[in-house]
Amino acid sequence: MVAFVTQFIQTLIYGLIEGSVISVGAVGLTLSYGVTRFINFAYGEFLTYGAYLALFLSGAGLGLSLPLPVATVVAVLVVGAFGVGVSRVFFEPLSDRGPLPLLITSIGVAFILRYALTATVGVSAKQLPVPLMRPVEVFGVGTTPLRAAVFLVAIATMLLIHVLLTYTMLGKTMRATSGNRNLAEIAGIDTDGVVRRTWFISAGAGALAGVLYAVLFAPFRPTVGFEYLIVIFAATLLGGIGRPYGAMLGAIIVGVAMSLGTTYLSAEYTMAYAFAILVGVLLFKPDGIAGGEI
Amino acid sequence: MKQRREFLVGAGTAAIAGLAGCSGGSGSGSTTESGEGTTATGGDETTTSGGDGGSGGDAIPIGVLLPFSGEYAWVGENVLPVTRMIAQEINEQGGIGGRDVTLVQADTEGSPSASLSAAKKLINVENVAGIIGPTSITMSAVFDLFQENQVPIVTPTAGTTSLDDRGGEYVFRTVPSDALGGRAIAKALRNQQYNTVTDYSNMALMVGNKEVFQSFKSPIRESFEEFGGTVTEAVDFKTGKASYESEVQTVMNSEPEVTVLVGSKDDSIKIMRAAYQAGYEGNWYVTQDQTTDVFLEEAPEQVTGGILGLQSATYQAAEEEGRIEAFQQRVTDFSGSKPKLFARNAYDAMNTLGLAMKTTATAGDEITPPNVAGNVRTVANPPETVVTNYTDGASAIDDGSDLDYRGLVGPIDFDEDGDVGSPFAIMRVEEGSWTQAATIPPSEL
Amino acid sequence: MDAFTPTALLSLPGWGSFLLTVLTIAGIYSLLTLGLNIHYGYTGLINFGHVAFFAAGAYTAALLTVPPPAQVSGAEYVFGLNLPMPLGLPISLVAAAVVGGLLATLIGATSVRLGSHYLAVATFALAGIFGSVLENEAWLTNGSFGLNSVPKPGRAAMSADTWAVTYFVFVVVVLVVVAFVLSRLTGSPFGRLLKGVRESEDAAQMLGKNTIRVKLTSFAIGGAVAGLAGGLYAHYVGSVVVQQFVPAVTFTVWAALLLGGVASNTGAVFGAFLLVGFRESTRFLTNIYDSLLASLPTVAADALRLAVEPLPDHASFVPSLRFVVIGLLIVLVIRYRPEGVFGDPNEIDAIGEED
Repeated sequence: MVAFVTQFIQTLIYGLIEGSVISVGAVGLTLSYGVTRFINFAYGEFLTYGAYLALFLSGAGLGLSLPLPVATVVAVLVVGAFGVGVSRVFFEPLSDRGPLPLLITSIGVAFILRYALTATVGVSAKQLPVPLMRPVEVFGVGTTPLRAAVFLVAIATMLLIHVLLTYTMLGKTMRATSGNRNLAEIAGIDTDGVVRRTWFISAGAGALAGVLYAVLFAPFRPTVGFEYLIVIFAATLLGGIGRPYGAMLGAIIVGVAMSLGTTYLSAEYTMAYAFAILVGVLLFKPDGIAGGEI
Repeated sequence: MKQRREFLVGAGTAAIAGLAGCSGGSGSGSTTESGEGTTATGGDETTTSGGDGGSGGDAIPIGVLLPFSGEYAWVGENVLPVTRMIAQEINEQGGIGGRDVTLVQADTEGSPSASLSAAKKLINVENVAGIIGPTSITMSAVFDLFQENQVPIVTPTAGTTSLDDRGGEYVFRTVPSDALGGRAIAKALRNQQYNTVTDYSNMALMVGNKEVFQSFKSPIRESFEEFGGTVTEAVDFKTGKASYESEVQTVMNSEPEVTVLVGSKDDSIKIMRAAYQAGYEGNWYVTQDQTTDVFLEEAPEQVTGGILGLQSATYQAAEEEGRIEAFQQRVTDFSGSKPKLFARNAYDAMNTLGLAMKTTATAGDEITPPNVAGNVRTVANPPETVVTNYTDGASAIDDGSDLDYRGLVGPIDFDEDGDVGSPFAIMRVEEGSWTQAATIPPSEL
Repeated sequence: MDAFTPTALLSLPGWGSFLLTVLTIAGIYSLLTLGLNIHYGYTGLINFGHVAFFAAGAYTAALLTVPPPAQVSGAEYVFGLNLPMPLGLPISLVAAAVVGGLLATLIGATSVRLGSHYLAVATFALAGIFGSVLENEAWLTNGSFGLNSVPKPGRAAMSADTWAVTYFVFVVVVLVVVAFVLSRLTGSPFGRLLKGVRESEDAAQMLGKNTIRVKLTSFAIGGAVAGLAGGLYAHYVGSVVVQQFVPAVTFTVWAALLLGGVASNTGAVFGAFLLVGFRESTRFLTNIYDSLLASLPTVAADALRLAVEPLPDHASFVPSLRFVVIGLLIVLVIRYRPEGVFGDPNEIDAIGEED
């Protein structure tokens, strides 16, 4: 019995930690959906680029050896700017054409980004320079300090976004624009500017999620972001598309569900649980938990 | 705007097709390279600058049929530099019958349909005299092609048990069957004399769910039980996953003394890290992907101290004569990085093929695939003069001797199914590097 | 080339044999594209999981015709029905199409009420789940080993080259028949119904049409065609492994459809041949490079070498670029010529509607 409880709690802990990383990604995706109104299949590439950029900055490529936290911050900023660039080049010209062309274009963009990276760095897996640690355990459950740090970073990011949305001007204009773009424009908001800034935040969040993911799950390849995309979709849609707080909650649920499923049902299907949640959400409550903005 | 783009696409494709038609196979005298033919690592040595080709006419193409994209691109990436190295050596020794050899890469993408067209390109368009490759995944799709076209292939990577009863006429391999490898692992664990630690009475088994790994599962399990041990838990894990906490937990719950881990380098690192972070105290037994320096560099030290591993033989003779070290140095000098998994197998494969061609040429026969195929076994199997590299073999052939090529992987004597036996080395990590604890000769298996 | 004289056909010269392989695969991809055309081109359904139907058809054909596990070394699968060739071929292909259609109906049923993006995500996710099942349930599919003894109908009765030609002709015949049937279908009232649903589902519903059923039927038809393609594939390559059925296949088919022309069957076939031709032609980049080096004057050749020098030297460089081009194709087509080469611009405006 004790063993069961211990394992259960341990599983929950893994799920929470992974969920927190997913939430960073999910929030980024949902914020961008809010203002652009299409599901961006290229979003996963921001995660990949974030992880690789952090890798190069922290000593594996360009001769730079920044400490990982610094490298992460730089990566987030650079990928954020890159995200704005991507949106301007590929998506803005199509913005008056409705969501379908944007959706399909995003797949093309995903391929371009992913394979341009692969062409440059090759397919062999890389790791971020993180220390390996033993777990700190209390009553037989625990985790390593590094993972706890990942969790805290993710939570802090959530808080930051919350502050952004609630208390800053940008946040308010973002909420207005995603609520109803036309009205926001009439109200004098520079919606184009808001969209760009949202892309910056969205891509940056994706990059951060990518770095956190790489820290948690060690070796990664150029396909890492795309492979994780459905998990992020699941969290985002579960929480209600366009709803950041929903995304956070959705992410935790998805993370815990994947962990539970892997431990108690079948270890061979991990992401499949996220996929299943996704399909379930779409079938039964496409609005998601918080009621989305379809 | 739109018309222009379409035109470009159409013209581009047409141009490519047209140029391809003009090039007509392997008319050039230079070694075909990957990508755009960059010569970054090998300098200009890999491209015989047309001058040598002048003496004897068209170059002889050798195909390298491996994945260069997709999940298994690393296999192609590991093997290619070694093949280039040998090709250069062959040409420096005057080529085959005065003609240079050139390598033609063909990407199987790790998928059967792509491997089909890739193999056809090599066989029918490039008219290769022999092929290095392919991997286990695509072997079934192209096996018949080799038989039908009588093309000799020597694969340095396909350990799949599905080749155990096939091949031998045109299909050879310089990598021992996984059936043997599995048995060796089991034997090593059960007997302290081989692992220098203890007679393990129980083990857990974690095997990646790709064929290349699954091929080991039954042999390990059945042999271990045959030798009197108990398998406490056997877990198939999905490869390329982000984390393996639950699999690790399942294994740890069964409290094994040692866990045999058959998976890719990356997955193994993840699993071992996860186990460490979850408090695993037992030992590990890993396989070929991990008994490499690269693995030790990438895996954290805390998890790798004292672990055991299988290697398809640092063939004792080769080790003693310093050939392994010389090989490592040579590859590093040539390509800029150390030899990786399958490099030694590739060395033996390429040498075998090259020497078979040389024998064919010296005998006055035309360099056609069937003729070369007929000589593969001749140069590799005893008796006759023992040689261990191409250059010595070439001069021996010129002197009129028959050969018995002994490689880095083993004595390379192809049996009737084109398989090789090799002794296995049981490795152990001591002070941060792999050292050999014992060897198991094939007779023990 | 003298590949067209009767005697030469029976023992193909190098180029002939290679081209035949490429053309056969292109034919199979054409069927896939035709199927997707029904989904997206005619009905406006964004199906990002098309490869699942292809896989379903291939595995069905394989399971019906591989020898029972006892006869295959290392087999983990449970049943192989070992239907004899060539009589078993029609059964195998029909079954493949049926299973493809069924899977499509199933997947469709779960997601057909959804708006377009959600349909895209759902089909993508469901295909992913299906792929996981194929890989993990080794009792059914032999897991990652795959089913490798799929018989090639009539192979034993003729030479390799003759068989290759025969099978190619067979694929072409199937392709023509399917294309014909589909064009009759899309020209019929049912076809107009599909387009009506595509343009405005609300209007169609107001007219009393059961749009759900229409969409499901569309899913089934497209899925059946894809399943048929899978069956043809299985009997051609003889080996069905899960590594073959990856999302890249789905999106290559998408690129083919978009480029060739949405809602145009000719366009679909054209696009497929172009994409497959493009992929295979990139095998010749190194040949072209070498012949350029050999034939250009020294100065130009050196310049070419210098230009190419800084490019990464690892082996996946060119293969990765191939996918970059496919992505670029998708982006460019959508942006500049959304109706593709053969499509009708009017059809495209219709798809741009929001649900």
